[in-house]
Amino acid sequence: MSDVPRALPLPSGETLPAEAISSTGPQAASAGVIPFSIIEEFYKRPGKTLATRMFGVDPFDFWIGRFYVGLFGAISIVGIILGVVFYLYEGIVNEGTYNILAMRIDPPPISAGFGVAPGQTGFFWMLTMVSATIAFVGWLLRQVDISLKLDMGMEVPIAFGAVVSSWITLQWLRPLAMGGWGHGFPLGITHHLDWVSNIGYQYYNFFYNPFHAIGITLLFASTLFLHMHGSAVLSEARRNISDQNIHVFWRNILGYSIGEIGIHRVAFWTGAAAVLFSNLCIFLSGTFVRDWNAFWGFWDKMPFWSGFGAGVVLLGVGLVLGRGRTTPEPVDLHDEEYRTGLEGTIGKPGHVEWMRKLLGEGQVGPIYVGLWGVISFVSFFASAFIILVEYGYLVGWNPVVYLREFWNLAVYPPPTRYGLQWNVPWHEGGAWLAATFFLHISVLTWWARLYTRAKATRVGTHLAWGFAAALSLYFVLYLFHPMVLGNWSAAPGHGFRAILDWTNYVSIHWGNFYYNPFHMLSIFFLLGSTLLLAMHGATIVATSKWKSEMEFDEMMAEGPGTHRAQLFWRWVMGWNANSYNIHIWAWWFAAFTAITGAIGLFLSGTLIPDWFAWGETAKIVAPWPSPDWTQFVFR
Amino acid sequence: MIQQPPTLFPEVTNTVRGRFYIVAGIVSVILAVASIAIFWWIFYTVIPAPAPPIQSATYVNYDPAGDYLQADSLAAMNAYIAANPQPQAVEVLKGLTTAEISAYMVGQVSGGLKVDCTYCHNIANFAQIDGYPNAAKKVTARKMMLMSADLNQNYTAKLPASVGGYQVTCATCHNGQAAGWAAYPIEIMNTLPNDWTLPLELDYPGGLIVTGRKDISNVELERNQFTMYHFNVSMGQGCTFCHNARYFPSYEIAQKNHASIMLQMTKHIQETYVAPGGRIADGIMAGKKPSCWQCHQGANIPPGAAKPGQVPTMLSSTP
Repeated sequence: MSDVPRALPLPSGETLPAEAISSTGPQAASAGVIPFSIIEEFYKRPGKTLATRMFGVDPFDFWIGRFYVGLFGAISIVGIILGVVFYLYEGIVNEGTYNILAMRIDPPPISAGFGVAPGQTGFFWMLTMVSATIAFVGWLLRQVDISLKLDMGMEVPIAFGAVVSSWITLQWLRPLAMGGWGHGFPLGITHHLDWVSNIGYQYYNFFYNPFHAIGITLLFASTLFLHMHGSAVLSEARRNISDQNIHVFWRNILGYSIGEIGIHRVAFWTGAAAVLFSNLCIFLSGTFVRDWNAFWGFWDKMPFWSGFGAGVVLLGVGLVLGRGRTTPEPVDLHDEEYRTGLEGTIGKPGHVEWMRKLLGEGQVGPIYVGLWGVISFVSFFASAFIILVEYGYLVGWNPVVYLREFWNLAVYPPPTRYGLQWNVPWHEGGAWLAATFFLHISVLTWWARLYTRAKATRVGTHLAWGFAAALSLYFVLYLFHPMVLGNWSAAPGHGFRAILDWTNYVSIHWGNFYYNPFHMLSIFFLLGSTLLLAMHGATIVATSKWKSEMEFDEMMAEGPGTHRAQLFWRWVMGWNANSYNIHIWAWWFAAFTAITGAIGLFLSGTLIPDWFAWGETAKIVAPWPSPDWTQFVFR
Repeated sequence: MIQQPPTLFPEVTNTVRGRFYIVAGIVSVILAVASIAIFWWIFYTVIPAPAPPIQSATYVNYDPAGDYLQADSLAAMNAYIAANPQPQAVEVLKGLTTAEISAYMVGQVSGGLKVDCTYCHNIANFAQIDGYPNAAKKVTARKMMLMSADLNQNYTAKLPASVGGYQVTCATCHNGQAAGWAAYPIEIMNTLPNDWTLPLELDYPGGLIVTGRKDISNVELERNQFTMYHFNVSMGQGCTFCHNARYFPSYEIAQKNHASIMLQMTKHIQETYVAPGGRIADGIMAGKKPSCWQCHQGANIPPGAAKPGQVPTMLSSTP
C-alpha cells in the first residue's frame, strides 16, 4: 500500500496527475496528498470496544505499531503463543522430530473417552486444541472490536465466525457427540491428510456425502466468483472506460451483470456457506450416518416414483411453470446492448425486483448472441443432447427410471481395450467421444466469445485468460492426460456419480492424491480463494454504508469506507491490500487453483505412478508406528 | 417522542442490516438443527433399529428356533439312539456316538437349514443309505459336511486366534433356509449393477491391486471399487476396517490379511463346488456363485458361524 496514488486515466480520456489525487476524496484534491498514516491517526480513537461497552474499561485498548491489541487481542495472543509452544513441544520433544511436515499431534485414544492426563498420548493435542480455540475465539472477538471501533458492519467477524464454527464442530461438537476426544482432528501437517483419508473411507465413500458435495461445490463456486470479480475489476482498472463497460460486457456474456454491491454480498454468503455446509458434512458422519453409499437407498423409496406420486409432482411443476406472469416494459440503456442480428443481442431488459433487493441489481438481459456464442451454444447442446439421449437408451426409455436414476446415469468413455481409438461402437463409448468432442468445441468457442466481447466492450481480457487457466485443467482431464496414458477410459464419464467416482479412482489409482504436492497447492489456492472471497466480500459489505463497493472510483480516490476497510485489516494482521490490488490477489488465487491442479493431474501416472511412495521419498509422510485404529472402526 | 431504551449494540439492533443478520442467523440455526433432526429421524425412525444380538451357546448371532422338527421324527430318533448306541453306516462323522451325532444333527444340520429329519433320512431307519425318496439329499448333505471341513481346515484355520476361532457350519451359509436364497440380494446392491458378482477369476491376494499400475484404467478401478463396496455392505464396516486409507495397497491392518484368506476361500468354493467340472460339484451349490454377504449378512463375524468347540472335531479347523 503506497501512500502516494498512481496517475490514473479518467473515463473522459484525460489522465489525472498523481498529486491531484487525494486519499480523502476528490473534494480535497487541491489540498495535495494526505499520507495514509495521517488518515490512520484520524481513525485511531479509544473506546467503542466490547469491553468498554460492557465493563466501561478496556485495559488493552491501544495499538502496537500497526496492530490493534484490545482485551481479546491480549487473550488471543496468549492462546497463540501457548498453542505454538505446545504444538512444537509435542513434535520436537515427544515425537522427536524437527521435520514439521512429519509431526503428528494425535488426539487421545478413543478408549480414553473424555479422560486426558499428563503423560498420555493426546495430552499435548488437548492443550494445543484448547489454546487454539481460545486464540480463534479471541481473534473473532478482536475483529468484532475493530469493526465496532471503525463503525463497520459485522460481516468480517461473521465470515471468520463461520470458519471458527468449523473448528468447534470438528474439535468439540463431533467428539462430544461421538463420545471421546479421540474423534478429534489430528494437527500434524501431512498427518491430518491421513485422518481425512481414513475418515472419508470409513464412511464408505465420502464423495457420496451430499453435504460434502455441496461444500465442495461452494468452494469451487467461491473460486469462480473470486476470479470473475477480480477479472471484472482488473479489466476496467487503468483503462479509459467506466463501469458501464463492465455492465455491458457481463450482460453480453451472461444476460445479467450483478453490479458492485451484489458481487460482494454473494461473495460473503458463498464463502460462509461453503464452511457451514462442510460442518454438516463432517458432523453427520459417524453420529447418524455410517454409509454414505447406502444412505442414498432412501431415494428409490420416495413415493413419487410410483405413477400416482409422479403425476402429482409433475402437475405441481406444471402449475408453477404455467402460472400467469407479466413482463415489465423495457428500458433503453445503451446502444451497444441493443443491436440486432447475429452480432447483436437478444432479449429485452427485464426487471426482477427480488434480485434488486437481494443483490442490488435487478436488470436481467439482454444477452449478446455472436458467432462464437452460437457455435458454443449449439455444440454444448449437441453434447448435452447426446448424453441425455444415451441416458434414455441406458434405462430402456423408461421416463420414471430415467428421473429416478438420473444421478447414477453416465455416458462412459470407451473401455480399456479400445485404447485411444476413435472408431468405437456408439453404446460402448462412441457416444462419449462424440459428446466430449462437442464439449471441447463449446468451451473453446466460449473462450473466443469472452475474448472478443472484452475487446468489443473495451474492457481488459482478464476474464478470458482466467477462463483459459480453468481450461488448462479441463483439457488435461478430458484430453491430454488420457492421451499420454494411451487410454480414453482414464477420463471421467459424463454423469453426476461418474464424476465423483472418477475423483475417487484417480486418487486410488495413483497412490493418494493428498500427497500430490500440486494437489496440495491446488487445494491451498481453492481454500485460499474461498478465504479471500469471504474476506473481501465481508469487508466491502461491512463498509458499504460509505459506498466502498464503488471500487473503480475508490481506486482513484479513496473514501471513508475504503479507509476503514484498509485499516481493519491493517489493525487485524499488520498489512492490507487496497481496492486495486486485492483483485490481483483474487485473480491469481483463482487462476492457480486450476493451473496447479492441471499440473498435478498431468504428472499422475506419467512421471509419478504413486504419490504416497513419492511422499515417502520426499520424507513428508508422518510416521505412524502404532496407530490407534479404534477411531476408524465401527463398534 | 418516545425515548428509546439505551442498547449495548445499536449498530446491530437498531439498523435494518443488523436485524437482517439477526434473522438470517436464526434461520441458519433453524436450518442446521432441522437438517440434523431429519438425519436423526431417518436413521432412528425410518431405518429399523438392528435386532438385539441373540444369546446362543452354539451360534454367533443365529436363532435355530422354529417348529420344523416333527414330534414323530424326534420320537423315532430317540428310539433309534436307544436301539443303536453306536452309529451304523457312518462315513463322515466317524468316532462319535449316536447321541453325539444326533445332537449335532438336531442343533446344527436341522437347526441350520430349519428342516425336519425326513428332509434327508428315512426315520424308520436313520442309517439307511438308498432305496427311499430323499436318499439323494443325504448324499448331498455328506458332501456339504466335507465342504465345511475343507473350508475350516484350509481357510478358517489360517485366521489368527484373535479373530475368535469361529467355525463354518451349516447355518453359516444356510441361515435357516434349505435352498433358494439370493447370494447377491438386490436390496443390498446399492450402487452396484444388479448383475454384479465377485471377480473370482482373479488371483488373490493381489488381483485387485490398482495403485500405480499403468496397465489398467478406470474400468479395472471400477471393478476394484465394486468389490470393495460389496465387502463394505457384507461386513457392515467401512474401508478403514482393513485399510489405512492414506495408502490402500499397504498391509498395515491385520484385517486385510483376513480378507485375503476369505477371498481365497470364496474363489476355492467357486472353483471346487460351484463351477461346472469342479471336483465335487455335482450341482450341490445349484450353480450359485458365493458372495461375502451370503455368510456375513452385514456383520463382521457371520451370524450363522459356530462358536469355538461346537462343530464336531473332524469338521473343525483342528481335526
